[in-house]
Amino acid sequence: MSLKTYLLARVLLAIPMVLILLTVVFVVLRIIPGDPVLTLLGGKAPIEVIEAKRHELGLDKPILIQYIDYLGNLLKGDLGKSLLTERPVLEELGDRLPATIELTIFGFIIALVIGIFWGAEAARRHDSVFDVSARVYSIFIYSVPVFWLGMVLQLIFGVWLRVLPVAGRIPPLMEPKHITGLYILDALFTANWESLKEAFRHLLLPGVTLGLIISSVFLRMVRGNMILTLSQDYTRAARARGIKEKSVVYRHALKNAMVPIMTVMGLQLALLFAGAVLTETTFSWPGIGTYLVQKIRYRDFMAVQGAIVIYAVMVVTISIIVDIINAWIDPRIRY
Amino acid sequence: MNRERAVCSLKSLKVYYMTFDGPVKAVDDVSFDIHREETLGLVGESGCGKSTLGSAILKILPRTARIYGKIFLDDTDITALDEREMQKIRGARISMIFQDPMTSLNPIMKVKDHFIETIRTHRPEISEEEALEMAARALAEVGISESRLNDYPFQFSGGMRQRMMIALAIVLRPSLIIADEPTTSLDVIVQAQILELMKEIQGHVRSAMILITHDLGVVAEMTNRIGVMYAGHLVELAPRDSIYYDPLHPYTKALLESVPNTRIEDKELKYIDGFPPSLLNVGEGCRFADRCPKARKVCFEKTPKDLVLEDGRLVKCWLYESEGQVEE
Amino acid sequence: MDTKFMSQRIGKAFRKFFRSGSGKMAFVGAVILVIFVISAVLAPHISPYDPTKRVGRAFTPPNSKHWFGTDNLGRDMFSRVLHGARIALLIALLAVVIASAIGIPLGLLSGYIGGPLDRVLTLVMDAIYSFPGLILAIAVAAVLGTGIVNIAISIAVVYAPTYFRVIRNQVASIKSELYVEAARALGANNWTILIKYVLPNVLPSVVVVLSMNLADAIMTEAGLSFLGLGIAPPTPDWGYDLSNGQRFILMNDWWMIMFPGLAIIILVLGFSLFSEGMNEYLNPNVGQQE
Repeated sequence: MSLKTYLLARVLLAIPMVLILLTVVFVVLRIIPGDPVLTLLGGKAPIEVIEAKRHELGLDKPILIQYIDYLGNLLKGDLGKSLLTERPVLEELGDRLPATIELTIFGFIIALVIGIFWGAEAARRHDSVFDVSARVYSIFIYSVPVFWLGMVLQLIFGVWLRVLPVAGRIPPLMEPKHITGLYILDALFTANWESLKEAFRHLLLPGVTLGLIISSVFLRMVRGNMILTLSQDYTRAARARGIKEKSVVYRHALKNAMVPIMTVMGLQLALLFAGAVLTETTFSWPGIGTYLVQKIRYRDFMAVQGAIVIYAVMVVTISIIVDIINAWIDPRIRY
Repeated sequence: MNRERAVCSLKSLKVYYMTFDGPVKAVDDVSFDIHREETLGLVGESGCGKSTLGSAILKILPRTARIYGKIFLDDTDITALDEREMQKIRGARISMIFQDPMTSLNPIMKVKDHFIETIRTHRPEISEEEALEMAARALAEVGISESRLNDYPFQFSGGMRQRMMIALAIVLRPSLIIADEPTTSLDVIVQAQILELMKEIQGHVRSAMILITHDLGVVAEMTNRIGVMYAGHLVELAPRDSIYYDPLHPYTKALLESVPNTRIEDKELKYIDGFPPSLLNVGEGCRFADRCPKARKVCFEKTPKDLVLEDGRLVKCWLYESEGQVEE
Repeated sequence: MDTKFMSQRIGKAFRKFFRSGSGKMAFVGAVILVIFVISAVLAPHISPYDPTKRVGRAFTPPNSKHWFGTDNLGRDMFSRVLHGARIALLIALLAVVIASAIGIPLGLLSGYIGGPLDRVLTLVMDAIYSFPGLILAIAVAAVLGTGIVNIAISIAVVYAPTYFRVIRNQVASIKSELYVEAARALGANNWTILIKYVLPNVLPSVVVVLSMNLADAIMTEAGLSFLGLGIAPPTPDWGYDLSNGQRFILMNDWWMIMFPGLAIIILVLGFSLFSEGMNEYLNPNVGQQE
């Protein structure tokens, strides 16, 4: 099977997964006791108003029809309108998505660098100081709530040292021209160095917070899997052929370890998104996470549903990407 | 005896694994020379130190291992070399063929990348195209078509993979090849083919070969000289026929008697009583003494010296004390 | 040494346990957990002040009267942290009980019966499992509203698939083991096999998962209440106290966030040390090779 056929098969396989996730979202938000309209309007609203609102949202229809409507609208890319702002939810989310992506990617890169280099060294020098400190670090970081780490960094760099901003994405009016929506990239493309510097300064604390938190999982995975691949015959055989140590560790052992790492990582991305919601809230980062939390406070259930659907779509997309990368690394998967 | 200068010679080589409870003396005081175009068989039960010895020559032992004594490759003592200089030797001047070809190739690297990586690590001046040509020639030597360079290891059978390992081992024309149980994990027919191939290859590569195996049948077919190892000691080293028809060391005798022999039909198979000793903190004395029918008091008290007999054979046993000279 | 007596054998097992690094890890974790459980149970008796009432000046830094300082409403932070352990442990335990009550039976059935039921359940559980846990919990919590039981349910929804997966996979592999086949051949019925053969075999891994999940549940609870979806104030709750404290970070009132945070870290550390240590001790084959 070629990479292309594999890709196609993988995307087709994702369809039931998306369907199930969307159904789970629907079930959670509609079937669990509790009435979104009641909570939106409060218990004291007159019954006619409530009924009217229910009708407007289609909540008076049988649940199965609601479900079909819901899926049909999603298929058309319609996430409904925010009950609060009356703007299409998709549009509002579109404004917020780049911020979340920027933060997540930055955090991911930090975690990746820490995880891979420290993890590989720890595995190579099993039971050395490197290794023991890696284990202590990963078990400790795993126990730290991401928002607490964020606050401590805010306290240190924002309050005590006063070197970094503690909230927001960029000072008002300094946004670079919109191209991708990722400020760092947009500022680079437009050679807007002032904006670049500010965007980076704002990204630093939330990015490091998120990155450190997820690095513990990465580190653990890389270490564990590399201990395994480093003890395999092919690494010994590569050493016996005089391949340089760096090549043995990174080209042979790490690359082979990447397949199980990526697979678990795909699942762990859930952690990344969850961490991102809390990090965004801690740093008032204007992404999907803060949007979700805000809309829950205002009981804007259409918006909440939309945000969760977007998360579901991102999860599935990432799992597809992970599988494709795996197939690219390991030929045994695609044949 | 071969008077030509040895390709590789070990001078009282010791390999100890350091543990919390003390050293495990996996290889103890082993000396021998090996010459060009010669195949030396190393036989012994599992755990006798023969594989450790093979890895020690390449210095690819676990970190807990310590090497004492000297290993000369041509004129250099490679025990004194650092890791970087060792890397230049591995795969270029000494190469190794491993037991399990199924797991000894990197599963996610194409065949050609194994070759290119090996060749260009040692000879960076060679271009990728030239390296590919070299790979194709080496594959042809082992009977694999050039067209398979673009395949992955998992697309080959076990026998084919061992052929590839051999091609990889000879592509840079090493002066010494160490084959560690190269046929053990293969089925019988493939075993015979691989052995045949190795013989043929060695014939035109003209390198020396150390063949490590527990299979007396394999060494009988393949080797010129045979070294018998027991519990970390090289107990006997002699030309093949001497070992088979006139073994000296009691262990060699016992070992030969425990192997089914097709020529002498009704001879009863014997087994050796007892177990090899633990090599942890093992002290003075012949290590076979406990199981030896001819053991005397001195056998338990002092380790026998390597004795060289008149015909050049080496034996490590008190029984021959009067016949041989202590080797220096 | 001849081990004639049970007490000797237990003693020997203990010595072996403490000689291993993982055993020590589990022990340290267990000590932390015991301390937290005791202080949670005894909180009403040992805490110096009522955690919900103004007992001093607002924004007092830590001093001899208020070890952890006071918050913006003049409440004693030490008493709040102490009482917070009650809520955290209570919700985490409740959540794990609910999650295992859903996940374990479904996993047993799914793994044991197999067939289409198994495939559907696995697909659904995998989908939930792959979804960001906290976000799912947020969604459920948003619908259910605040309250101890509601929060516990929101967290349980996230972790039920974990139990399901562990149990299902183990059952599926144990089912085909020889001794189970033998029992079946001897006429044991399905229930007997499930209860007598399969369940005891999967329990050890359940204990490890349980302990790990308690750690995660405490984190999730703290996250939910940090986002304002947890227990309604003024009930002392670490996550809530952290979000409350964050408002005053710029005034350098560090103690309001430091102590509840450390409480979470130490408790979660206790659970992960314990589960990690036990896991390594029970399955020592991982990462042991040179």
